[in-house]
Amino acid sequence: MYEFLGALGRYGLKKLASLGRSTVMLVNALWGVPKPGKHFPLLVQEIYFVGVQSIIIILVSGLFIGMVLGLQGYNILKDFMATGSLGTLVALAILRELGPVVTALLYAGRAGSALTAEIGQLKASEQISAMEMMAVDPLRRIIAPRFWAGFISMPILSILFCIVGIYGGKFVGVDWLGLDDGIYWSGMQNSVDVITDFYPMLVKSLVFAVACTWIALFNGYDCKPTSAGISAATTATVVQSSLAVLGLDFVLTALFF
Amino acid sequence: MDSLIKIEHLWFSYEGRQIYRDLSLTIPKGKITAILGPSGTGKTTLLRLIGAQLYPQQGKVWFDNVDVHALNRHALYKLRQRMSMLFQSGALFQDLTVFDNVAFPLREHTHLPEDLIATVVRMKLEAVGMRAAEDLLPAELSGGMSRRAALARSIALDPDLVMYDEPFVGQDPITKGVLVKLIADLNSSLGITSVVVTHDVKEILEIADYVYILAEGTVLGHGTPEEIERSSDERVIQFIHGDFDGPYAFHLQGTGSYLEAL
Repeated sequence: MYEFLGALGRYGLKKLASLGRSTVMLVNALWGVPKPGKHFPLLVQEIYFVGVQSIIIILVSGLFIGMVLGLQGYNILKDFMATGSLGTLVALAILRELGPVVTALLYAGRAGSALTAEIGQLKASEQISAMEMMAVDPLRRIIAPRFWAGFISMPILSILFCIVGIYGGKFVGVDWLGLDDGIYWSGMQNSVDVITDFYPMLVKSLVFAVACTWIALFNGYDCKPTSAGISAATTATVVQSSLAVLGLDFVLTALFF
Repeated sequence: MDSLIKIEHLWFSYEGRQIYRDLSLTIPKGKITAILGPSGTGKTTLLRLIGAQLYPQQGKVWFDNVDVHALNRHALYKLRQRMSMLFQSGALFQDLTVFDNVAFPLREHTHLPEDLIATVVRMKLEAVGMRAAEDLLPAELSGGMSRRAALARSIALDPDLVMYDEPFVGQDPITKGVLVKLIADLNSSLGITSVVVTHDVKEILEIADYVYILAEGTVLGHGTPEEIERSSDERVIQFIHGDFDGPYAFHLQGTGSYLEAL
């Protein structure tokens, strides 16, 4: 019993120390005034890496999820003679939940894991140490631009996901199954509100951006500088980010709706 | 002897293992100091302690009369502009060309126009014989070329101190000779202080002004290369001559008996 409590205590302390280190890392990275001449090009480069290069996977996933939602929704609503509500169903489901959540999960899998592996590799090859010894703060040079790139990219990716998803629902419901075009769009127009549906989507995607990017960056920065260490950190990033997104989604949904 | 670095009563442990116990040593200014010792003694750790990448449990490291571990983040980064380190792997930035690697500290810390930076970079590359490789990526360089390119980068800001972490590891005899000459030439022509951590006794004794041999967490012996070679300490003699048998046993000390294990 004592051994179990001791192990539990050690695990708790380890996690608490890890949380402390990650907070210190983030605060040090974001503290201070950025130098536009030096930091802006780095930011643009990272937005390309984590944002632009994620667009294809986001668009394809959004399209298929919207199409599945359109097909399932149509078949269920048909039984209740309510196919006219398909536009509402697709739009609300995507805007309120699927858009930000699936985007964040895909982001964690594609960009988050890549960030962790990249920073882990920089650490293993002593490039981070070299930067420190050259009096260049790696937190400002490496961590900060990647963090802001995630923060900027995720809401844009979520919006793209939502747009494509809604069109995916339209392709199936209207173009394939024959629902009236006007009914699909007008139902959506009547029930979707910017304040109650669109803004919460943006807030969710910003919160997920902070969580996923922070987890990815810290796991890379704190990993053991070996191939096994980088591998473990990359796995941890995907698992922790996914769980964080799902947990935070519940909290935010409870707060907003 | 005018010193650049002074280490006083340093105690350092890492992951429960005591690396240094009451270590004290002095690095003379403008000289080449060699740090020798068996593997696992913590020689690289010592360089990281000097650069304040690691913090000791007790003791002080003074760099030009400044306690490096008492500095805040900003002051420490300011001080690090006066020191540089040549890493064992070279640690060149893999996504930058050799030219951009050498230009990196200049672009970060100076406001020089790009054409002047280009001139300085080419001078540094010329000094290490790597000017022809300025457009190559680190992945296209051999081990020796990487070391030389990294050396050019480490002297880009004309530091007071250059720390070399195992510069000869994995190099062929010709490259070793080139690196030995470079370290000696740069030290004398730029007037910098050099600290070389190495296992390559023969090469380093050719150019070192002063030698420290570390073992068991403290200084085993020190002196000029001549004094070290004349040392009567059996442990120093074993290390310098690379003897198989001596105070340092071939077998790691275990807890059980070999016969019982059989």
